[in-house]
Amino acid sequence: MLAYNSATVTNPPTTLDGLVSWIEAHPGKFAYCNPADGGSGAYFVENVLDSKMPASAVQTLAFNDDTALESDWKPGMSLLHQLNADVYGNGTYPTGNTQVLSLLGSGAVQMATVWSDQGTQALQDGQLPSTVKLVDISPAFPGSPVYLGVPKYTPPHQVTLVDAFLNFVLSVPQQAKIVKKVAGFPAIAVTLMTPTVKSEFTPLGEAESLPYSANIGSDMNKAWQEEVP
Amino acid sequence: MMSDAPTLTAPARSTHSNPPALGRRPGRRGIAGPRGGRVALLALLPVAFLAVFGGIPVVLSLLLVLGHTGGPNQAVSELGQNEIAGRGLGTLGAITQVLRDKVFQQSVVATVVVLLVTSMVVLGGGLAITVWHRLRPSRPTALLQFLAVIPLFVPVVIASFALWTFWGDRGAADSAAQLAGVSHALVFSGTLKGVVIAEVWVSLPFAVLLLRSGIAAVSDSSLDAARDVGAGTLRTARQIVLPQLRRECLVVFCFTAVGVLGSFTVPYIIGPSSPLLLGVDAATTFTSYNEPQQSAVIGFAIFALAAVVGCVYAVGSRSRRVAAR
Repeated sequence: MLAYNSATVTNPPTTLDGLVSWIEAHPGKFAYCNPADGGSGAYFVENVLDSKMPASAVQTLAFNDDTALESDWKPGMSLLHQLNADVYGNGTYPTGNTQVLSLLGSGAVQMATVWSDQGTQALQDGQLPSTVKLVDISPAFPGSPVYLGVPKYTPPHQVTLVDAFLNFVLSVPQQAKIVKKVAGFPAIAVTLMTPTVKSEFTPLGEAESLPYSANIGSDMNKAWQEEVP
Repeated sequence: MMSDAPTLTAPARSTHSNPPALGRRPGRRGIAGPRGGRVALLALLPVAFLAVFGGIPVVLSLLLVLGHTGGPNQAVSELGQNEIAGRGLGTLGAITQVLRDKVFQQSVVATVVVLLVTSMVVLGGGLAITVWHRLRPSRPTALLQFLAVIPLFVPVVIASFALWTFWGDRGAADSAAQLAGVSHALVFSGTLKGVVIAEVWVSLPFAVLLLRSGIAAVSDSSLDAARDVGAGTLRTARQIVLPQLRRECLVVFCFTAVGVLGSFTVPYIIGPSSPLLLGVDAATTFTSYNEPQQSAVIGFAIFALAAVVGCVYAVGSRSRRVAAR
């Protein structure tokens, strides 16, 4: 998510293009971490790369290791390289999610990309001042889905137990707990959730951004290191 | 010239020779027979340990570097990506690929520069602290020497993070600079200068301890004699003390260099995103780029640089032995 200091940023950007313009207009006030070291930076980079790629390519790279499509990263990477001069410290990328939170908390930067759960936790702990707000932009940053997997060879008499457990996890009260305790996104449709969750999540829309497959993500980290800083 | 309590009649230059042989008459052989065999076996244990847990992985890594992705390397090859496999004796493809990589080349240059600067600063700083205290002992110099050893007791991760905060934006150093009106003058986090500062902080205690023990061997009588003929502190330091510290200086320089070569935590936390140091580059290549073969190549590059430092140490020690004969 995008975290910004509402005390100094009165008009936060709501789109990716708006964010890029904001970064260029306010040099040194935005930070994202090295994508190799933290997901918050990685998903910012992915969002920028995806915005310059055909949607079909993005879809393919989410599930396949089609390295030929990596050439579509060129426009996104060159934009990120251009932004070097405008990000924090003239192109200093914090090593990890925690350092970004530190910079935001100390006021060294006014805006940064952070994890939704880590950011919410930091706000609750007081590591981030209460003036910091977390928002989504459009297109939304890719996130990390959390998967529950069931092995194919589960014996039939245990499948009923597994199903019962999955139904429990997917039930509305449990999904509401996920939203409340770990600041996660519900896995079921927002229209089925409790009124408080509905009011919080309906404005964000149902748009999902898929993260890259693991190997493509690794290639992205390497390409970033070679082309951006 | 007033002198202190009469000095001991210790030899002017203490010998670092072996202790006198106890209970051994000339002509007697060393431990032989069954007892000797058992002693040799005991000495072999650490060697065997090193060979199995250090040597075998190194050999397997070398095979991976040369493109042998089967056998013991099969698991890591299946999980990794961008591997260059070879048949027969192997291939140098992985090595050439890494050597041509721009990020790697920058890392090598950055690492060598940082290690040279760090070693010189550590040696210079360590000598300054210990020699000054030896020649002109006082409470402040004793305190300085004590403070210089404290970093030894602080875990490196904690120290790195603390230094990153201290030398960062809005850190203590930057805040002081802003009060003086020069904002951003003292922000070193995220730069190679910051890495040097942190590496010096981490390496200085060992240097001070080693130099302190070496300097204790310099006899008081030689220092008194120098003072008697009117030599100043700097002159005494340069002509009496420093020549006797040659071995310790060599050890400090080489160990600091090797320490910086293999360091990961300090440059990871406080260093820039580009250029990286070799330790960080190797680890990131393995963890974040999922390229175990290429990270093994970088590992061997670190070995090669360490071997160069080792050669410097060997040559430096040898010439001293030659001179002593």
